[in-house]
Amino acid sequence: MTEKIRLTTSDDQEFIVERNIIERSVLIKNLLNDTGYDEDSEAIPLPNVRSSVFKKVIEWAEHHKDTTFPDDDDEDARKSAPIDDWDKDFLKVVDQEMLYEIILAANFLNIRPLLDAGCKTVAEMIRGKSADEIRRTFNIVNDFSPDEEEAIKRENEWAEDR
Amino acid sequence: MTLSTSSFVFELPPELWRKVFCNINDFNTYTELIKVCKNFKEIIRDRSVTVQFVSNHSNNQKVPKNLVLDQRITDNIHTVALDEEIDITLSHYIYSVDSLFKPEFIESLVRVKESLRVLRLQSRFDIVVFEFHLSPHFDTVITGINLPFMRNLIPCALLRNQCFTHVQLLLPIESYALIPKPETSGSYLRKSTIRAYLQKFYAILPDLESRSPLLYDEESRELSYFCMNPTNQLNNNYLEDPSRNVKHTMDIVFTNVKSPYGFRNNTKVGVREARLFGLRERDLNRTITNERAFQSMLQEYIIAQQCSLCEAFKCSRDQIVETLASGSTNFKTDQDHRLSIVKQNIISLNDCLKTKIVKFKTKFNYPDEHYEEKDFIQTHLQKGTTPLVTLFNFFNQNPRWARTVKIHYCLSEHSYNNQRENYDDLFEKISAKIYDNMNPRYNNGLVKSNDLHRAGQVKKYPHLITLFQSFWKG
Repeated sequence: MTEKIRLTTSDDQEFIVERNIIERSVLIKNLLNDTGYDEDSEAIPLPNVRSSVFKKVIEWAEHHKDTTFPDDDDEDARKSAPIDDWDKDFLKVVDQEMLYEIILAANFLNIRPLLDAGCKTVAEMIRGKSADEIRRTFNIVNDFSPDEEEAIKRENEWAEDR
Repeated sequence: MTLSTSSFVFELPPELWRKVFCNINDFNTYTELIKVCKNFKEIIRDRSVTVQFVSNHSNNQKVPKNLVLDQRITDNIHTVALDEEIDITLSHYIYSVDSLFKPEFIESLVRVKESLRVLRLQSRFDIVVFEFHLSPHFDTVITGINLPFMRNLIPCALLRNQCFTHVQLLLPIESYALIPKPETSGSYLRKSTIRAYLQKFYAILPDLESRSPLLYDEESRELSYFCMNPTNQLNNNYLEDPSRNVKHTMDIVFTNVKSPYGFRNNTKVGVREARLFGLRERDLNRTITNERAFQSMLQEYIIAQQCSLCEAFKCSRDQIVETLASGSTNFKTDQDHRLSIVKQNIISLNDCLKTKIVKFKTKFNYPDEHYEEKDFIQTHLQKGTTPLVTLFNFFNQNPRWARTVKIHYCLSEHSYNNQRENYDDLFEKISAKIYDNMNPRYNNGLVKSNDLHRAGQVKKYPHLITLFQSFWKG
């Protein structure tokens, strides 16, 4: 019988997840291995993850419970690997707020494949856009003074000689 | 970094933005990201110290030849730990030497340039080590064609980049002895070698504002500045025949650096020339002080002429030298006439050089010879007689060389009298134009004066327009 792990999100919702699924999180896996866990143990707190986000993380982990990902240490292989189709659809349907929270949760829980997929998705949203478009997409305030903008323009002249 | 949507404010730490940016892999987007906001700018430029090793050396059988360059850049990146704090990323890109003879080589350089721009903006490399092994027999071709572009490529794309706090260590180009060979059977430099690079690199960082490429002297294990000059590249190759295991000495390097421009202050390169070439003043005392070095300088021009012959007759330099020395000709009949003309030129040149050597011996002063070009140069460049006049005369016998030299000379002289930045910009545009005009093995196309108009430099350099027009008409 698969061991069940209890976890509590930042909004005090409790989740019971199969160990082999939640162990997609290196953070949780190390925690379980280091401290031991039995049914009398307290729920593992996840103070940085909201319940709605954690549901999505669990959904992702359940789908990928049998997936073999590139070696974590192989930065280039991970970087060059395209986004998995399922991941693409999975992250495409969430709004920006959820996407960013998933990235943060993946980072906190140390789930590299999910973090990579999230970062690649955001990269796709950025690629090919102008500075203005990027600002609009992410609602970023331009905090450069006119002089600073001019300086940047000068600095980048070499790069815009195509 | 704070992002917000209409109803939500979200904070993403810099390390996650960095991860996002590393996946963009598009140069134009990176340049746009720098403009978005201060935090993005900082993230894009923040990086650890890395070294990129780019080589066309094909002796290593372990590295497959004829790989697509872009694949190499993404796939053949190897990381070794230098110490606890610095990771060195080494990548050894291999061209087949044969590929240097094909027009595709230039295209591959463009791809290198583009890829390096991306890599650098991705903050993956601080130091780019270029190692181009050029075939001696084809140096004229390679130098003549590519160096205007290479010069454009290297200082602009690699060294002129002010976006980065570290200046790239660049060890160009025909570096038989300049760059230590890989010391292992693999394609990597030893850590100790890289460490030596870096120690030297950082030791002289304060002096790097000249943006000159650096030269690594294997014997003394010292780095010094080196002028990227088309004539230097060619001549160094021949002076330093790897088969004879001749070491590249600093004397020869400095001889080459200033030889096209002649001496000032007799046997030492002047401060002005030193600055022109990015030399530090303390290097001035290391310049030519003996006859051997001076003869080497003179020998360069003979070799250069022989090199032209190699190309014209599709023979090796040794064949040319042997034929000339024997006084006979083994070339095809229809080439005899041309050969005899060039032979005459070489003999004249030799005589001229011998005269100079004698004068050098007796006076240690460069002869003030009078050529027709003297007045011209004085008029347009407003400077006194220099040995360059002599060299112009020589180079005028070889138009393809002459144009490069003229452009380089005119612009560098003027720029230094005016504004270095303007010179760099102008030279960049012109050299790019030369590259554009390549056809495709030779740049027989001229830089037309209206190129300068298009480059928007006319107002800054009206005298140059006149100068160029005069040259082009010739």
